[in-house]
Parts: sequence; structure tokens; C-alpha cells
Amino acid sequence: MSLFFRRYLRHELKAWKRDGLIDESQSARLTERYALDALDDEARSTLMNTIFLVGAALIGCGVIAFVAAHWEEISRTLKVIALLLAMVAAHGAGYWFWRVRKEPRPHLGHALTVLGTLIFGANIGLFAQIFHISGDPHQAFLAWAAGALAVAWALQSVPNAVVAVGACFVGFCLYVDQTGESFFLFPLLAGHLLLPLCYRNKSILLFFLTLIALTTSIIVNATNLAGGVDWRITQPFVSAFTALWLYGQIHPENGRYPVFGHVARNLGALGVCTMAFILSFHEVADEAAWASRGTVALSDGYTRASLVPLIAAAFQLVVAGFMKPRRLTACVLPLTAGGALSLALLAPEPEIYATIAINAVALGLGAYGIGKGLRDYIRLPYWAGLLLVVLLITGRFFEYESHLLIKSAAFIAGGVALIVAGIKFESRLKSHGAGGEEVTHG
Amino acid sequence: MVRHVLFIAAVVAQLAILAWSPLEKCLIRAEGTVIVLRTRPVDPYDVLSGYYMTLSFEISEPAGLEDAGVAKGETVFTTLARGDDDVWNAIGVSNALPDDLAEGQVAIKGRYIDIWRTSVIYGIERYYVPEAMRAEIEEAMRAEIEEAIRAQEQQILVEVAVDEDGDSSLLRLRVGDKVYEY
Repeated sequence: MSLFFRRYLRHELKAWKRDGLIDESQSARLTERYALDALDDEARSTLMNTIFLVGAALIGCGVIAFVAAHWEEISRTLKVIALLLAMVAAHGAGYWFWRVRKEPRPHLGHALTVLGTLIFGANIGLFAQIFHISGDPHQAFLAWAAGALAVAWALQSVPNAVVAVGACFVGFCLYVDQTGESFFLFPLLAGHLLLPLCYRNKSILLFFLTLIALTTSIIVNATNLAGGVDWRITQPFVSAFTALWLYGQIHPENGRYPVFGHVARNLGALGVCTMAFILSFHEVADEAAWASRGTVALSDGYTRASLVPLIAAAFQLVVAGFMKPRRLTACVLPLTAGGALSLALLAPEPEIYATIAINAVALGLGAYGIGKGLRDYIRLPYWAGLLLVVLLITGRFFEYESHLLIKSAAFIAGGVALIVAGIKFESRLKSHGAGGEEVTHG
Repeated sequence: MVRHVLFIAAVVAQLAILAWSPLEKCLIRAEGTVIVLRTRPVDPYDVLSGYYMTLSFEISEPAGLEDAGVAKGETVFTTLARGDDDVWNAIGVSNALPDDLAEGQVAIKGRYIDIWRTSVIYGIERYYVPEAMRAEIEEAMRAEIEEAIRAQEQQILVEVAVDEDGDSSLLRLRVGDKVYEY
């Protein structure tokens, strides 16, 4: 239940009681059900966490600047001992305050462990400075990520995990930039090390950051392969978003934190629809189809970049329980959408076939969204589908030279269809009698 | 109890990660052969970039690289021999650690990267200096470079320890008759 909703409910409860809509006992039951009494404590807890974490970050910056001054009065050995002691002391004190002390101070303790991890990261750079190590920066960031991840797992700590996500993503980007090679296993490795942490800590922030890092890493891998403008990068894009959608679909609705499933599904579906729209332009479809032909061999980098996210999603499917019919059915939609889009790119010559096929897939996606919205009384797919259809029509209008009369007819037909669909949707909502109550959660 | 062990293991893992590279460098310093290389700042007009100096060596562009069968990004071993002036010079390049090194020769491990004025990097291209010493070192370097332009001879040298596997560690910087070690 969102914090915003609970705060709003607490505010409204007072008004309902005052207006005589509910009595004291009903108010008490609602307060208990939504844990409204805990709201102030939660707010205080968040504030304290923020204060301590910002404080820890500032101290971390101070330590970095202090040692980076590279003061020459102190011997190398003493510098190393001081740096290691600072790190171990921060971790040790944090753990003691958090988990050992009889009257624990978890916020302060947690912040100190984050400080320990920040000092660890600073120490990697400072040790390089002290020992004149001029290695590759990506190694430093990946090492920092590994250390942060170890503490995040040991303590089930979201801030330490956030440091790990940031560090490993920067390390990955630097690796690709410095070596010029793609790091295909990164999304696979990072996904399986980070996603379980998201679930164990029920952190939407961590989950969102992890998804962004994973999806972007697939795209960075693909872009690196392209080495410039090469429309073959559309294949891994489609594949990454399909995998994300698939992951959202197989996510248990009533199991561990269903909101994660919604985030992944919506992000994936949005990505596939965006790719479908971009590819629907004749010139883009031409280029992409021309470049994609003959690149389905396993030895091709683009094929590998495309397969990695799908393998990851398949692995998750196995973990989630492959043979459950509901999950198999749920896979059909993203696989059909992503698969159709990928196959459309491989349409035989002439190139116009690919354009037609991609537009058909995009139109199908839009129509499906509208249909799903109407069938299940959910606004998001309805409006997203409608937007895609409108964008497709508008795109073709500006793209192709044709008589204005034809364009006029197409626009009027599109407008009328839109209004009719809108009226139908609202009528269904009214006849459903929900007044749109359910749809707000879609 | 398990929680305590897990946390201690995580902190030990951080310590192990931190210790890895410095320990390796300390071993090289303790057991390696000390050699002297002639160097120059990559950018003589911006000697110090932040708190370190990016160095380029004569051995950064060794001859015979094309014949060594090394692809870009791969490991390369440059064989060095001591010159009459005690400065070590590159005499050969190979894609494997040479096993026939004569007396007064060492092999240093690097990576073939082929960028402007640098074909091979050895992991010793960065010398960090304390904040308080930046101005002095920068001044000394400039003076030495100006002198080099006049006299056609530049004496900016670094001392490097190289172990028998070819791994190296930067020890100190010599600008003219001054020695800088941090």
C-alpha cells in the first residue's frame, strides 16, 4: 500500500468521523488495517535514514579529500593502516549500533556501514595513488561493486546495494569504453546477483535501478557492437524489452511483491511498443531489415546480444515454475510481440515487406492494448494502445506523399474511430458500475 | 551467529579486494630488478593533470611490435637492456615471456593499445604527487624540459621495479638531480 494513499486516508478519516460517515470503532478498524498509527514513525524513520546517509556520504567525501591530499609527512605504511582502520571502524561501529547493542540504533548503524562501503571505494582509488597503480578504472569500479555487494548481501542493506548497482554499472560502461569489447555476461551476472536482493528487501527503488542498469547494459553492449549507426542494434533492443515484459508477465501476482511485476511488465511493453513505432517508418524499417538479413548466426555479436536477455528471462521462468499453465499462457503475449517484431525485420525482399510487417505488428500491439483495456477495465493499456495507433496514423500521414483528400479521409476515419472507442470504453465503465474505481490501479 | 559470520566475511572480502593490488606491487618492489627508464610528461604544457603526472616512456613505442604477432589489447613483453648511461632501452618485443634473457636484461609486461605516441602501456604511466608538492614538481619539470630543448638532452627518469614475470611497479621520479618519492 502506497504511503501517499495511507496519508490521504488518515487525513480523510478525520473528515469522515467529523461528518458522521463512520463511527469511532470503524475508524479504529481502518486505522489498524492500514497501520495509520505507524505513519509518523515511518516518516521519522525515513527522515533519520536520510539524515544519517547524507551525513555518511559527506564524511566519505571528507575522507577521500583528506587522503587524496596525499600528505607526505606520513609514511606509506601509516597511510595504509589509517585507511584500513577507518573502513573497518565504520563497518564495525555500524554493525555494533545496528545488530549488537542492547538498545540498537539501526539508522545510525546502517549509515555507518554505508560509510564503510564508501571508504572502501575511496580506498581502492587511494591505494592506487599510494602505490602508483595505473590500472584500468573499470577494474576499480567492479571491485568496489563486488565489495559493496558482499556487505549488501550480508546485511540485507538497500543503500549498500544501491552503491553496488551504481559502481557495477559505471564499471561495465568503462569496460566497454576502454576495451572496445562488449560484456555480454554482465546483464546475466548482475541480474542474478541483484534481483534476489531487490526481493529480499522489497525495495522498489533498488528494483527500478537494477532494471534500468540491466536494460541499459544490454543496449550499451549492442551499441558498442554497432560502432556507430547500424540499425542492427534494434534486434537487441527488441529482445531486451521483450525479456523485461516476459519477466513482468511471469512474476507471481500474489507472491513476492507483485508491484515488481507491474514495473517490469510496463517498462518492457512500453519499450517494445516504442521500438515498433520507431521501426514503423519506411526508411528505418528498410535500413534495419537490410542490415538484419543474414545476421542470425550464433557467431554474430548482435545475435548473442539479443539472446542474453531472453536466456535470462527463460532462467527466471524456470525458477518461477515453468510448467504452471498460467505462466506459460502469460509468456505468449510478450513472446508473440517481440518475436513478430524480430521476424518482421527478417522479412524477405523487397524491403517494403518488412515495413508492412512491422506496421502490422505495431498496429496489432495498439489494438491489443485497446482491447485489453476495454475487456479488463484498465485504463493504462487502453490509452497506451490508443496513443500507439494515433502515432502510427500520424507518422504515416507525414511520411508518405499522397493526395490530401486521402489523408483527410484517413484522419477523419481515425478521429471518428477514436471517439467511438472512447465512448464505448466509458459506457463499459459505467455499465460495470465501478465508476472507474478499479481502473486507477491498472 | 550466522549473521555475524556473514558480516565479518563481507568485510574480510573488502579487505582482500583492497589488499590484492598493493600486495602484488610490494612483492615486485621487494623482489624485482630496479631499472631506470627515460620518460617525459605526455603533455609538457600541462605537466600535472590533477594530482598525478601521466608519463610516456621511450619504451612506450618499442620497435618491432608489428613483427611480434600481437593483436591490439593483447599482452606484450618488451625486452630491456641496460645502456651505458644506466638507462634501460627496449631491444625486442614478443608475445610471450622470453626465457633466454641475458645478464643485464629484463622483460617488462605491457598491453598493446596503439594510441597517439603510445603503443604499449605497462601500468606505470601515472605518478601521483602530494598536493603540497605539485607546484615545485611542475616547476622542476618545466625547467628540465626547457633545458632539454636547449641542450638536446632531457633527464627526466623514473625508477621501476620489474619481477621475473615481467610485472612492474613505479618507485620514484628523477628530474635533473632531484629525486621525488611518495
